[in-house]
Amino acid sequence: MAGVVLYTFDPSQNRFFPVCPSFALTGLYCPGCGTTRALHALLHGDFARAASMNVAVFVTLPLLALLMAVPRLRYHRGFSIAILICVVLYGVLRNVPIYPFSLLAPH
Amino acid sequence: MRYFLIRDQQSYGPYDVTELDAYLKSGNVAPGDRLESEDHTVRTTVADLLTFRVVPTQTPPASPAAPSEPIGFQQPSSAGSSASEYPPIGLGGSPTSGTPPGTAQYGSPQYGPPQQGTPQYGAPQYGRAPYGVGPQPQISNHLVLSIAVTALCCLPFGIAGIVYASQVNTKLALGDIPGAMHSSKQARLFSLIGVAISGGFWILYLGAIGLGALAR
Repeated sequence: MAGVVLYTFDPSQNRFFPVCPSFALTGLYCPGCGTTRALHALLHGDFARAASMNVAVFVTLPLLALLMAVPRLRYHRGFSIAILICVVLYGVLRNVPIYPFSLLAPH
Repeated sequence: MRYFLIRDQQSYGPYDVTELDAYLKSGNVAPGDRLESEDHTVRTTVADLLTFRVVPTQTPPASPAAPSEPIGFQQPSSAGSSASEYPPIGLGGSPTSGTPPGTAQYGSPQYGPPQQGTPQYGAPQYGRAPYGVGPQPQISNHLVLSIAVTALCCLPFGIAGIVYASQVNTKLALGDIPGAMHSSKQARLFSLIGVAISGGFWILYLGAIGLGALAR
């Protein structure tokens, strides 16, 4: 049902969808900001728009599928720490308002 | 820590983990045999103790006169030696595997007979690798849930969850089972906080929209 709603209504055109609580509270883009809009774009096959909203969905979704399929990977020490570093780094970089990094922010 | 082995209401030992491991492999001890720690605070079984042992426990050598021989029917220490000096393997007169550990030399025949209705415990019965070399016990680190909370709930609780998830892996690799279990609980706690806040928010949000639609 969530998928149908997400397909039917564009989060950026409808007030229906709530804004990211982290963004509402701090004004900063969290690593997950733009995921709803990116998923909406993905459901419509619009990869470019999905990338402009939150490019991380192209990593996150396959990663979650991979981790669910391969339990051993969850217990790899370096792997989980690498994910942690990537998430934090991504969250910091997408708030840097300078050209290459500004691509990471939802736009 | 050393353990008394309890079988048929008789207590043997105490033995340390390395000895128990050796006896299990030689078939003198059964996986289902009950154990009680020397200070009587821990009760477990051979299988549980050895399965959850990750790093071999080295205990200091036993003092000749063990201070606590607390179980009344045990051989008094006036025999001049603690029970552990008489390993149950290859005791005179009872070379068969399956002999209960550490009794025959006391000359108390009621402790000694090898056949006590317990089957012979050969290694093939377990159907798995010897204890201690198999895979480590796996404690869920909730990594998938943590990543999902980070990406989908847009909340920092997911990041805390990933931190604790990686701690679980680090502690498991070091053999710190209690620490890993604690980190596992923390990882789940933070992820579930994220899920609860997000879910609660959505319920309130949809409820408010529904009420607004009704009032119109």
